[in-house]
Amino acid sequence: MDKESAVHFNKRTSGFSTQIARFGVFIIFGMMVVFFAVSSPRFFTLGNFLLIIQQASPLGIAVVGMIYVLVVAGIDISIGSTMYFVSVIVAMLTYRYNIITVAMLDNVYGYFIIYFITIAVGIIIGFINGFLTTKFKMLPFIVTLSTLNILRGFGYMISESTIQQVSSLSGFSNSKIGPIPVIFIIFMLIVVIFDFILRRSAFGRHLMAIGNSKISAKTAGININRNIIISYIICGALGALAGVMSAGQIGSVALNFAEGNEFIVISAAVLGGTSLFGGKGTVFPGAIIGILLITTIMNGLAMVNASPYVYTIFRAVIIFLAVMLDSMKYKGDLR
Amino acid sequence: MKEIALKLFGIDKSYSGVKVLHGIDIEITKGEVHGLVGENGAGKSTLMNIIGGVIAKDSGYMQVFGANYEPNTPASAIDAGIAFVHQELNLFSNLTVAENMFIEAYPVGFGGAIKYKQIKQIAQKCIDEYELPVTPDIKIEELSTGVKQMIEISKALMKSPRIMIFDEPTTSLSSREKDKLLATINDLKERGITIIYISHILDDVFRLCDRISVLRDGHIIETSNTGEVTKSQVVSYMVGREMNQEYPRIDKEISEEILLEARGIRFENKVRDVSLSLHKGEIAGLYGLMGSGRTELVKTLFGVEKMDQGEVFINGRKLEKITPKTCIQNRMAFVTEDRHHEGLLLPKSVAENLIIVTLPKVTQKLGIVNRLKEKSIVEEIIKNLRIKVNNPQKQNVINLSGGNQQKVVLGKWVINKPNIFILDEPTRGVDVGAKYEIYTIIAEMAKNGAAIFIISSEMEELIGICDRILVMRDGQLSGSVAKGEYKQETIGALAL
Repeated sequence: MDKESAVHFNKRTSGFSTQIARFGVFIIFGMMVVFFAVSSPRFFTLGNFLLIIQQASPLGIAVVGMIYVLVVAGIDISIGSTMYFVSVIVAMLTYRYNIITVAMLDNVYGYFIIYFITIAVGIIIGFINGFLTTKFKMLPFIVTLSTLNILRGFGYMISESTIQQVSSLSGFSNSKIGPIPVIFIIFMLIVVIFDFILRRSAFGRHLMAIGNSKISAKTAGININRNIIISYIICGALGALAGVMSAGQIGSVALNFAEGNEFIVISAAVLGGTSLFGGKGTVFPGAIIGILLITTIMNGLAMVNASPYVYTIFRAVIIFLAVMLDSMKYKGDLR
Repeated sequence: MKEIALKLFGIDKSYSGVKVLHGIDIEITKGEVHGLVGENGAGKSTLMNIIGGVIAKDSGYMQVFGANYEPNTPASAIDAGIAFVHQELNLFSNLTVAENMFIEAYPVGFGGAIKYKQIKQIAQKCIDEYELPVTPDIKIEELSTGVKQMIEISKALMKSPRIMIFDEPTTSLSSREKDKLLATINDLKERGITIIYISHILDDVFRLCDRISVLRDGHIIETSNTGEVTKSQVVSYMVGREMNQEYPRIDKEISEEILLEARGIRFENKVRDVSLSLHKGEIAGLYGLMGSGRTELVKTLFGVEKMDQGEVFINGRKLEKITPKTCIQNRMAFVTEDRHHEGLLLPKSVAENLIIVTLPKVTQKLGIVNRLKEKSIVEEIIKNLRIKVNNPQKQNVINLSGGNQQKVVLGKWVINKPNIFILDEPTRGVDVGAKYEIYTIIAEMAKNGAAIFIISSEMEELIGICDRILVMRDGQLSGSVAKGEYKQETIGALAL
């Protein structure tokens, strides 16, 4: 057998549905962009582009974490509540208990403490999710559906169901270096680091292997439970980070803050080429493509003054398309 | 006296009271290729899993090159210098060749980065050595089975094993790939690696091995040098079982009328040009080893898998669309070999399981199920098949014994009074008493004018109940033996 025929053995690249699955998202996206650009003169401008990347960055960080969980064939739908819960905690520490004073936030020191707490809380949440799914063999969907409600409930309890102010965090979340939002730079840094880990480290390759076949991974002597728990921890930590950054952008933590974000994050990951069946996905360019696609469409809808109800429908349709395309691409090798 | 590479002495193993290995004694000399042959269920895999440290033995001891060997995890087998190449490949289809080769222990450098340069270099060396048509960067999913297998072998060789065990390595290979594999194994032998080669393809075993051991029902029947034994002798060692199971005797007539005819069935490369016909009142058997294509054949007949080529005639009329639905409409029934996954709703009640195929018939207007009718049908079938159940509405299938579960599977199809009944391994995991009852049910259906087609890897069972046994090998029908001419050796030789 020569090299060519060996390589093309299993490939079914020519089918119409395969092509649709590969490029369909981009075709639809391209058409939407053209529509927005024609309908609104403000859409296709540099200013709007900078706005889009600023809006996309916090959720993009969460998408990176989500990719780690999806790659091992898991899912974390508690990510929206994680964002809310840590934001409430940070807000309470700052404004209710004055453990972190506004004065401290004038220099880097205060932010250091805030984000340290944020990440610590995210790690704990991720650990609980990972521990329950692995040690007790519970379905990750159910585990994280429970934590989703538990965390939201705790958030309501702690905040006594009131809106929390975090305007002092805005300084950082909305700052820019030149024209470029700082949050976007952080997002890019995280992408670089976590792309390297997933692509080039033994840990990352082991996650890929686990997502491909748990049985084979076990035979290869990979510690499956530990690796999966770490992937949930990464997701929890990055989700928490995304939450506080996003809260800072808005300046307050409303009761419905980050509600439904799990679906934006998961569908962005899937749009970026990560498979819900596990074993497939990239942080770069996957996470960036995914979140930019969704944010651009949301931004465009705002520009053309679409009704808020249309947003929800659009979001759902995008998720539906993303998951459908994922299933179409899926050939059955991985399950 | 040659050095002994692997010595097993008195290995016993039981699974929930059933003894599957009876005091296995075997000595593998250094540098030989030792063939281990046996039918499905002879205990080959169990023995290999014990050597590999996957399961624990009950008693006996093992030695590797004279040193005591007590494996308790697969890692201890690796430490002892024993490597496995399994039938099921342990490769990750989403990773590259080089990544797969090093998956167990990546060499890492600064910041935990895998030393890609290094692993690619070593992978390239392995690739060059076996002239594989790949590069280290190709993903496994893009490769053919033969190449994947060579990569699996290269991966095993990286641990520089002293003993290599090949478990049915050729089942999914093309003949060219197979030649290459056998050449590679010879090459490994030249390098002084001791090889245990497990297969039921006797031609390969004879071509490759220095000595052959035959395993049957958990006993080593015979170990002989390849030159001193003929193929037919090996076959008779493999199948020479005593016939001690009782079979029901029911007088019935086989009519000339053909109920099912299949012509030129092809499915991938697993079923190649198979034609057959089943007569009214006949019980036909299909014998073949694992991988012979027997399950695939019946799956295509029932439309579970779409055949690539071929025609099916029922009662002389051509079936235009072959799907499970059209087959059921034509009063065909198919009992799959995997009763737990495909045949039963385990946590549901016996009654619900029995009625599921017949549900449309007991459903009245507005889709309401007629409970009384359902109950009477269920009770009748339970009585007919002698299913041991107290309260069919309450008792769940999962709590029944294997034999009774299988009767429920049969029952749900029997209710419909099928004309053509295909059964894949109907008595697997069923105790002796229940087996007899299942045979009786089958024979009675044939007596009532159905055509029965039974697939089984238990030859005695087919000899006991069938009017005719078809034998399949390598995707083709290799012969048909009529009742009266049954001999285990004849059938075995056709299948091997």
